[in-house]
Amino acid sequence: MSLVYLSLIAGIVAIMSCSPLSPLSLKPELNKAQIQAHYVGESVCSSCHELETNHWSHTIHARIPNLAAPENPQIQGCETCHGPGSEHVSDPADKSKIMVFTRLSGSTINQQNSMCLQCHRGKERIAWSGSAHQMNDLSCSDCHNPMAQFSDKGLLRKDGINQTCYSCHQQQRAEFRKRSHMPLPEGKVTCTDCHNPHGSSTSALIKADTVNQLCYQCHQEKRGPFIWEHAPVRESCLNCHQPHGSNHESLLVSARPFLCQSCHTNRGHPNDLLTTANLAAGSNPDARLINRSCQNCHAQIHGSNHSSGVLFHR
Amino acid sequence: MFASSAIGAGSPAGNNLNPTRTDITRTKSQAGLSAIKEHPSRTPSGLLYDTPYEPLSYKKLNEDWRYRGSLDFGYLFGSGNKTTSKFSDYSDWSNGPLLNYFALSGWQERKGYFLEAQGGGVGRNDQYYQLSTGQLGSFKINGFFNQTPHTYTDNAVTLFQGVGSENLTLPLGLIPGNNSREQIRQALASAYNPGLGINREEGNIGVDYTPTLSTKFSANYSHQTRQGKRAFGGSFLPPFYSTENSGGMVETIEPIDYTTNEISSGFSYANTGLELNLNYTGSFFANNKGQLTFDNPFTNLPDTNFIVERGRFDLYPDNTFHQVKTDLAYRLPLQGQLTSTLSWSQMHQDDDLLPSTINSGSTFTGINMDQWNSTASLSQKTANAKITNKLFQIGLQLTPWDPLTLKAKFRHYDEDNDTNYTAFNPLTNQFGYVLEDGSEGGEVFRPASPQNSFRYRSTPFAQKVMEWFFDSDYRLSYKTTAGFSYHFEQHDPAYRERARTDENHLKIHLSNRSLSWSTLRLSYEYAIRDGSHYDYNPYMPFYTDSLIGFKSALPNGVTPYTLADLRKYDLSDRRQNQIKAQANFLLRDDMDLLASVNWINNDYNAHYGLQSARTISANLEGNYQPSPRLNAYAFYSFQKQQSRLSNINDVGFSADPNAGGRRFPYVAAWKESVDDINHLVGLGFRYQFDPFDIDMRYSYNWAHTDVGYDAVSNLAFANPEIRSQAINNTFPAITFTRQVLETGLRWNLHKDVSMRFYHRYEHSGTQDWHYDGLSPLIGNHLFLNAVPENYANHVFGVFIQYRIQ
Repeated sequence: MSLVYLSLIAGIVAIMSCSPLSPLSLKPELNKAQIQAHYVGESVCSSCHELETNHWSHTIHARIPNLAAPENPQIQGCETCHGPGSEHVSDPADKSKIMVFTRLSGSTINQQNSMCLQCHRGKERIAWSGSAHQMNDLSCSDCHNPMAQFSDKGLLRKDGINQTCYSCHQQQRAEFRKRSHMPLPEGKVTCTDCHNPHGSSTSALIKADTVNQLCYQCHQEKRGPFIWEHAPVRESCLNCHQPHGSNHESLLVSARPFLCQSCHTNRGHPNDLLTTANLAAGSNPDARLINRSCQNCHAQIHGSNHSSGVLFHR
Repeated sequence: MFASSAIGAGSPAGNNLNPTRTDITRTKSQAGLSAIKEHPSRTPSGLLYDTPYEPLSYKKLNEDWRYRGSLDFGYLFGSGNKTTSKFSDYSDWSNGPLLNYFALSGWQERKGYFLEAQGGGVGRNDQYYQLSTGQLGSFKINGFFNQTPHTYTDNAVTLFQGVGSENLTLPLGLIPGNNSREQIRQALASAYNPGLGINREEGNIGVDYTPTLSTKFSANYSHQTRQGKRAFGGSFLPPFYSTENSGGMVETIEPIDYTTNEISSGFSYANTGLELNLNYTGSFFANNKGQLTFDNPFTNLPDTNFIVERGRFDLYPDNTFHQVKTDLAYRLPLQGQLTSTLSWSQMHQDDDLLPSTINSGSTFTGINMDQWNSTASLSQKTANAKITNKLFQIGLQLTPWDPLTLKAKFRHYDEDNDTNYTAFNPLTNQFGYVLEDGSEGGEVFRPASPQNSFRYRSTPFAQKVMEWFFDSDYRLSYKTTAGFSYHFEQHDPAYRERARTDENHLKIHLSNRSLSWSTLRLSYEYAIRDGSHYDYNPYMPFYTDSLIGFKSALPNGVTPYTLADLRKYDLSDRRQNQIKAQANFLLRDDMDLLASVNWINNDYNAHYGLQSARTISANLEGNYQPSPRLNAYAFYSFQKQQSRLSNINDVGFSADPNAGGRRFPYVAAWKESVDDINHLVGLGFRYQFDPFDIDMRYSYNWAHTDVGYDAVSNLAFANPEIRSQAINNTFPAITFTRQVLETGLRWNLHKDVSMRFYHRYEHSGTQDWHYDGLSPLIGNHLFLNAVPENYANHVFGVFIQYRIQ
């Protein structure tokens, strides 16, 4: 493995020390119909798009003094993002002659996104390229609408982060309505508390190196490590918990004790089949089945730091 | 919480009365976003953009500064607004005056300085505030406070005194470790509701500094507390060993008093060719109530003089976490990019350890607890537990010719658990410990004496994960992309049943926006997992049968650790099929229809253990926006999750670990199924008719879980002696329903003043066989009786909205 590491690091250094074949540029890619156009200035745009300009003028983009594209600082206002407008002025009906960020755009998703990335590169978007959303051909404007202030922050296309995500992730919206759930409907958590929609080095766009490290950001007490560890807990919280919501208590993936019995046969009591006779109102009530089931006794199921906590009793 | 995808300063969420934390005094623009377009535009994927709010207006403070503000205040009243009720989970619906939302912002036009303050739920358990200032494009100082109530139930009862402290004592009249069931029953007459719930508060302050467009520095500090109490377990003797009076299981209440301080700092750089992020995070968790002592309400074994007076938990230890992480992206020719991530982190805790019992005297098995109840009986005084994680990732993306993009990625995660605890008592020179504070005797290694094996030292579970990804995307046409990817994952868990698992994933995906009336996204993934030899008992080095002098209680071998043929599902062979399909239909210029299906089928190659887990989800949503004044939506989601498992009850005392052997005979085999079905329906609309705005949202969730079982014979049962039990049966269904109807009516009295009427009806019902027939005292079990609540509550609000603009 050390050899693999050394080779990969040497590869990084070698690649970065090479000169690119052509000069790199942050200039946005324009489609062929717009490439001959020249800049006309914001006043020309707003003469037709007065209402749009009014909405846009209250967004954060409009408030940044002298906001301009980094490689074209003399151009400010609409054409910073929409590109040169002369061809559009001469033929307003042809959507390919101006950079449009909507369904009817004459520009590719890459071309559209390159407009945004000329300023919004790096930082939390460092893993955008190759991310799940990028690979599914999503545009920045599928989630954002910088033409007006729909949301409190982030110039989202909906009035909130969760509502924006639910536009496509409807299954997750249903999961957050289940009996036990993360408090998204109640407004106390947002999707971006756990996920980075702009890309991540970890699968499912999560904002940590592992699932457990993500969960520990709010559930720090579970971090331990404990002197007596529970193997599936240390491996991944998702072995036992659903991330969004569950019809069972505590976001568990299944009903106890059967969840525990998926792994625990062992010897003695873990492998008994508990039946309706063992319910609280049955002929032989059994604490392994009722109430908190196994955790009635094995309370420290996430790990124990007690010297005799080997079975998570203490 | 980080309500932002960004590194650096975040912002809080809102609350149930304003989940999106937007300015709720704003009205939608009746002119829409554009005077040129008859209908709203659509996103590139084809979804309609919302109607925007009315453009903001600002007052002039002086030549440079503009400001505006808004207030939403009034009175909330209704039925059943109890703060401890499950209805108030994550929310505060209590009756009374309410400053529901406020915002004040100022902005300097020429230099971009700004000051913003906003908040809501003022003084309530779900309050939130944010204050930020800075200069746009230069620096930002951001602070916020957020409070979240997490209530469990309003139904619990306990007879313990001192709830919320580290010491739960029995009320006067009961003697620890020496009460009959009748005495406990009488004491329960004065049991009370302890009000179970946790209050989470977080304060955060952060600074972002952007000296140039290419660079950004950030620093952040957060202070988080969690305080309250929650239901917790407790036992003095396994319930199936105890008798009529002897206990037994005692449900206790865990005190929660956590404090976490966290600091983070970061540096980001992005220029034409290079993007770089460097971050450090330090998190310091303290549990201010580190142990829980609880009196034993029951007696111990009958016909002995031995009394176990109390038990003691060691609650979560203080811990620290440090992480240094760097991400790099380097642009290459051929529209290429090299990316890399390097991360190092460490979790550490060194809490003082507690001795294995709090009691003294001799257990019924003859262990003298006086030699086990002090820290002198421990092999080490502190835990000294540490896990170090390392992550290395490198990726390369190239577009050798225009329609084709190739990607490759390598990822290696290494988790090293450096925890080593041995249960060795230097006072007695013995390996072992007292169990359940003496009530269950204990495990003490006695060389040459016949006994069962037990775990005597910690198992430092850890893992290494190595992954390779290869992906090729081909642009079939202007708006259509197809791709194929291969992903290999090698998982090397330490001290687990398998030294290695290998999983190969193949995936094809398609994104098509070419059709004028639809966008289609499809993917299919097939994954197959296998690995090295499955060792059903890799834990022997940590058990006493690995010690010299061990002598088994069984004549022909050691009591088996578990059924040899059972496969734990995180390591067993698995075939996985997954289909994701999503389609947006542009039905009309003012109407969207979105449909999606997600199907995952996991087949585990296991005779015993989890055998299958399947999920199918289907969703349908329609949106209708005929004018800026009106929009309406409806959605329906369906989800079905199924799992199947099988197991064998052990009978007899054979050393044979195999299925069909004398210990795990086929005649004691059983299987079980869990079928979860979930439906969600949502409807809503918004309509403006001057001078009123009305909006209404309704959602109805219905969930149904069937748990069924089937056994070969009564030998599978916990109580085989009960002949009346059917060998196949189902538990009563677990059901959950919740419907929420929210209505808001705003009466715009003046440009700056509105009156808002609010109504919420929420109805929820839970039926769960875990709690059916539950009472505080059942046999030798003492419960909190925290039965899930059903409720139906109305909340009414009358608010005045005032805008300074």
